[in-house]
Parts: sequence; C-alpha cells; structure tokens
Amino acid sequence: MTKELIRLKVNGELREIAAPAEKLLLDVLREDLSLTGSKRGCDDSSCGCCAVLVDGVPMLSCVAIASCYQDCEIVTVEGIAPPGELDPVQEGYAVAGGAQCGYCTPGFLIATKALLDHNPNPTLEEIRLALSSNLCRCTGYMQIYESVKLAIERAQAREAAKTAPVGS
Amino acid sequence: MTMPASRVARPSTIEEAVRLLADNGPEAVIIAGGTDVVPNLQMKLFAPRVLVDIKPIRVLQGITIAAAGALRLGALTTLTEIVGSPLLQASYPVLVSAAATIAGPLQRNMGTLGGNLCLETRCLWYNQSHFWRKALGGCLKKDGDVCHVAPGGKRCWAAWSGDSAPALLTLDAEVEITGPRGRRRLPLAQFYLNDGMNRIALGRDELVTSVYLPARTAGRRGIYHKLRIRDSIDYPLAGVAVTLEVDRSGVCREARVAITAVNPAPLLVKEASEWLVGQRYSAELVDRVAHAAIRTGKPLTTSASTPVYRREMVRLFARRALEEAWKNGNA
Amino acid sequence: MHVHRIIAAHDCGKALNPMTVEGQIEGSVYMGLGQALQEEMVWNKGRLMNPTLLEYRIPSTLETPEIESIIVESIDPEGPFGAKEAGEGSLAATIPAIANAIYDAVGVRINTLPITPEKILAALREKEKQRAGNDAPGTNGGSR
Ligand SMILES: Cc1cc2nc3c(=O)[nH]c(=O)nc-3n(C[C@H](O)[C@H](O)[C@H](O)COP(=O)(O)OP(=O)(O)OC[C@H]3O[C@@H](n4cnc5c(N)ncnc54)[C@H](O)[C@@H]3O)c2cc1C
Repeated sequence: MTKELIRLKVNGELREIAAPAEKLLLDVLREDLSLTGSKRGCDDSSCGCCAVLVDGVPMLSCVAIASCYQDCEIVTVEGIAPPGELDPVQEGYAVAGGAQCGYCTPGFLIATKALLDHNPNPTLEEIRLALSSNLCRCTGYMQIYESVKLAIERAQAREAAKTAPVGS
Repeated sequence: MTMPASRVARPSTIEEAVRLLADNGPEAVIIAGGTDVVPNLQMKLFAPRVLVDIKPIRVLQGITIAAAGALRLGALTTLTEIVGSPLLQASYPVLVSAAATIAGPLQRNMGTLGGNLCLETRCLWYNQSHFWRKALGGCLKKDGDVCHVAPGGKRCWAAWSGDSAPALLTLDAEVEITGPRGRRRLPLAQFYLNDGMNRIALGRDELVTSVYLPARTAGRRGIYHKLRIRDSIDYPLAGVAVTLEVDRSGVCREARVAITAVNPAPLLVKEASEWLVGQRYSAELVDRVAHAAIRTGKPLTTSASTPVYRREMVRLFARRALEEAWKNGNA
Repeated sequence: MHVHRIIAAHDCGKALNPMTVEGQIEGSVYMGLGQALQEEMVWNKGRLMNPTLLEYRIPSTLETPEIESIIVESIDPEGPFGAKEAGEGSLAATIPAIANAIYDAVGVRINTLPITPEKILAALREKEKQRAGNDAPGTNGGSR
C-alpha cells in the first residue's frame, strides 16, 4: 500500500494526512480527520449523504479520491458555521423539522448551503432541483422545503440587522 | 465497500497522461469526475495498479470556438457547465436537454463529458458488489463465462447507458482522441462498437481529449426523451434524441434520430435521414421512422423495466420527438 | 404518470408535538407513494437483483408531489397523554388513494405493486380487447 501525503484545507484549516493514495475523501474525513458529519448512505453514489463543498461546489465525497483533490478547499457540515454558532441553513433545518432520523441531513445542509450561497432567494422549483441528488426516507421533503424557506428568512433577517443603523 | 489499492498519478499535460497509459497498459484506468469509475472500482469490477487522474490537465477544460465555426468541448467540461452554457442552449439545445437528465446536480458537478462518452456499459448482473457476483461465478463481462441475460450466447449485451452520446450523434459530433501517435478525429458514430465488453474504439494508451460540434448543425431544433423510473438519479432505460432542420415551406432538410440504453452502443437510426429528407410532415411517415427506431433497438433484461416496454417507449419517444420538432419549426 | 398533490388527514390522538406529527404524516405518505409507484424488490432465484439505492428507487424531490397534512386530534384514553400513533397510518391509506386516482383517471384497476405505466398500459389494452370481443359477434361495433 502506497501512502501519500494529502494536503487539504478542511473547514478553513490546513490539514496534512498520510493515507493510501486511493482512499476516498469521505473516508479521509471520517477516519483520519474524525469529521463524522458526512455519511456513507449507499454503495453507488446515489444518495447524497456524503456531500461536501469542494472549492464552493457541492460534490459527493464518496466518489472523490482524496489525493485527487490536493490543495482544495473542503467544507463539511461541521464547517458551515464557526464552532458554537449556527448558519441560517442549520437554524432552518433545526427549527422547521427538516431533520427526522438525521442521516441524510448533513448532505441536505451542504446542498442547501451551496444553493443559497449563489442564489439567496430561490423558487420552490429551484430548491427541488438543487436538492434532487439527495434522498430522504423520512420527511417526504415537505419540511425540508420549509426549512430552506426559513433559512432564507433567517439569512435575510441577519443581513437586515447587519445593515440597520445602530440604535434603530 | 472499499477501493482496491492502487497508485494515483496526476499528469498535468496530455503527453504525460499518454505516457502513463502507454507504460501501464491494461493496469491503468483513467479517472475524470470519477462518478462512474469510482463506484465500479468499489464493486471490484476492475483492479488497476494505477489510476490516471486527468483533472489537472488544464487544456482539457472548457468550451471554445474552434476552426470553421465548430465548437470544441474539452473532455473535462462538466455536465453542469454544459447545462448552464448559454452558447450551447442557443445553438445545440438537444445536448443541453440530454445532459440535464443525467444523474442529479451533484453528480453533474463532478461528471465530465469525456467520462460520459466513455462510460462503462451497464447490466443488472454486472453492476453488483463483488460478494453478489461471486455467488454466481461472475458473468461473461467479468470473471465468468456465462451471460445471465442471454444464456448460451457469447456476446455481452450490457447496455450503453449514457445520455449525452445520442444527442451528440444527432449533431454529427466528432471525438478527438490523443495517443502516442498523436491526435485523430473520429465521427462519434464510429467511436462505439456495440459490444458490451469492448464498448469504444479507444486504445489502452489513448484518451478522449475533445468533442467537436460542427457549425452546420448549430441551431438545429432538437429534442431528447428519456425513460426512467425516478426523475433524478436514474440512468436511462431507453432514450431517443432527434434533431431536424425544416425549411420555410415545411420540407425536412436534415434529420437525425438516435437511440440509447437499448443496445451496447448508442445508435443512429439510419433510415431516419433517408426517409425524412425532402419530405413534408405526415403522421404515417413519422410512424414509419419510429418503427425503424425500434428495429434498431434490441433491449434485453439488462435493467429495470421489460424489453417489451422499453421498445414501446422508443417508438413513442421517436414519434413524439419528431412531431414536436417538426411542428414547432426550426429555431 | 404523475401524482400532482396528496392531502392526508390523520387521527393521531393527542398531537404531542404537532410539527413532528406533520412530519410523520408527510413521511408516511411519501413511503406510500414510493411503494405505490416505483419501489420494488426484484428477486431472481432467491437473489435480490436491486440491492442498492440506485436500483431500488425511493422517490427523489422531483417526482414527490406537494403533500398537505392535516392533523385530526382526538383523545385516546388508553394512549400516553391521549396519543395514538402517527408513524404508519398514512402510509397504508396512500396506496389505495393512488390506485383509486388511477382508476378514476383511466378506468383500470391494478392489483399488484408497484403500479407501473407498463402495467397500466397492459390493462388498458386488455380492456380494449374485451370491449372489442364483446362488440364483435353479431353487432356492427367491431374492433376499432
Ligand atoms: C447515481 C448515479 C447516476 C447516474 N446517472 C446517469 C445518467 O442518468 N446518465 C448518464 O449518462 N450517466 C449517469 N451516471 C454516470 C456519470 O455520472 C456520468 O456519465 C458522468 O458524465 C461520467 O463522467 P465522469 O467524469 O465522472 O467519468 P469517470 O467515472 O471519471 O469515467 C468514466 C469512464 O470513462 C473513462 N474516461 C473518463 N474520461 C476519459 C477520457 N477523457 N478519455 C478516455 N476515457 C475516459 C474512465 O476510464 C471510465 O471508464 C450516473 C452516475 C451515478 C453515480
């Protein structure tokens, strides 16, 4: 087994891992970096539970060979917001019932985050399409859409609070 | 499931990639987006010694205008780029609508055009875990000598299950292939061998570097219909692409019909251009072409849904797509 | 075939957490939808042919319709704090609802799951054949 030094920027931190060259990004994240938020939900890259952002683009970490993503910037569900804080997307899912058993949730959070990062006010159809690589067995997707809508509202509220003049 | 142990090479030029492929022969496997090859590796469908990751080769990226007004799509152009390209949307809509049906948005962010054109053929008896296949003693395509789809036969019927190839066939696209002896260009139709085991005319030491779309098919009205059970994350069970050029008086000037997922190759329906060019629309004519489409398709039980139904859908899709393309005129 | 909208009312006893009850109803309806139209374990001589999420097709966001859930509250004196259940009831009802909607739309009854377009087409042809057969002898109906 050839081990290779894999250098990744994960959730804002530079990480160097010695791992077999063919090791999947998902396994590197879970086993070598103890970031167990990303999940393995299937065996053929069809469920979306393992989604992470690679240079801002949502991708499936279960088909990404880690050493092929040298020097890339990876954001996992753990890195969506700084420790102790919640991103509006996380708030939305926490409050509006977007997570039931929770197994698919990290993937949905990542796909939602990527959507709202470049389209802060999507239509329901755009939300459906953006989430159509992610399977959920529990919710019937309805409360997931509610969660995304709430996330949009929360993000707008935060924006408004930031720009509002102090004391008003 | 786990990945087989292998070395990962990351060439940054085409020449370097070709050298790696030539040096390692059958022990090397190209990996682009990895959305097809990585699941297959985990199922132990192949166990290469070297994975040649071509993503660092910058010149394989992007969409550019080439000589004679042709459009060049680099092999690493992602499916997301294709779906979002205003240039392709305006000039080659059939490709955009076919690419938009591939897998789901996350797979499309990773999946490349080159990978889509070189996809491994698929079969319910082949795309299974090693554990599953072992119980059966394998199949003709892998580790065995029996075809479970057509027992007794010596031919592999694993189905070509890509969506962009039929669309590109209706646009007279060419693939550019690079190997140790340099570059060559091939009409896409000649790239496919219609053999489940030996699917494409690509040497072990070659890679697909670009796809060319000729200027003469730009602006052709095109339609792609795909049979699938789930509206996302589902390979085609059958697919039909159609492009037409109809003049002002309603006479057909050019026509192509291609089918996918019902043979070991994506195939042009030869009769379509012969019978349609010079003709005006008639339901009877369109029916006849649709019938030729199902004679071209030979689906077997390689996927969900029965061969009878998949043939039926090929006919329906061909008829519907021709009707739509004809009646809505040429863009 | 496309399901446009599903409305489900469910008597769950006392709704201890209404948002969760709605989530349970919607999730159950979703599973019923999948079972009704596209999920199937395909066996061949004792072998499962589709042991993956790619081939065992639970519905994606694209074909799952809008699901509207209605909580019908009652108090069950036997249940904890008056609750009954909210996990499975709506699943069971969804399947016949879809089967009936198909019957209402095209007039054929499919009695095996999943109800695929292929089965509906076969049933429509069978019906056509029977009608033609009934009309044929001694009438001028004939086959169409
Ligand atoms: C859940 C799921 C659903 C899918 N659904 C569909 C679908 O509906 N329709 C569809 O068409 N595809 C589908 N795919 C397959 C895949 O996502 C796409 O076909 C994608 O375009 C493949 O590109 P890639 O870059 O990921 O290929 P890779 O996996 O990197 O490569 C695929 C094959 O092509 C070879 N290859 C790659 N690039 C080159 C090159 N430049 N020259 C020579 N050989 C090369 C590789 O060696 C390999 O054999 C699906 C995949 C998944 C995981």
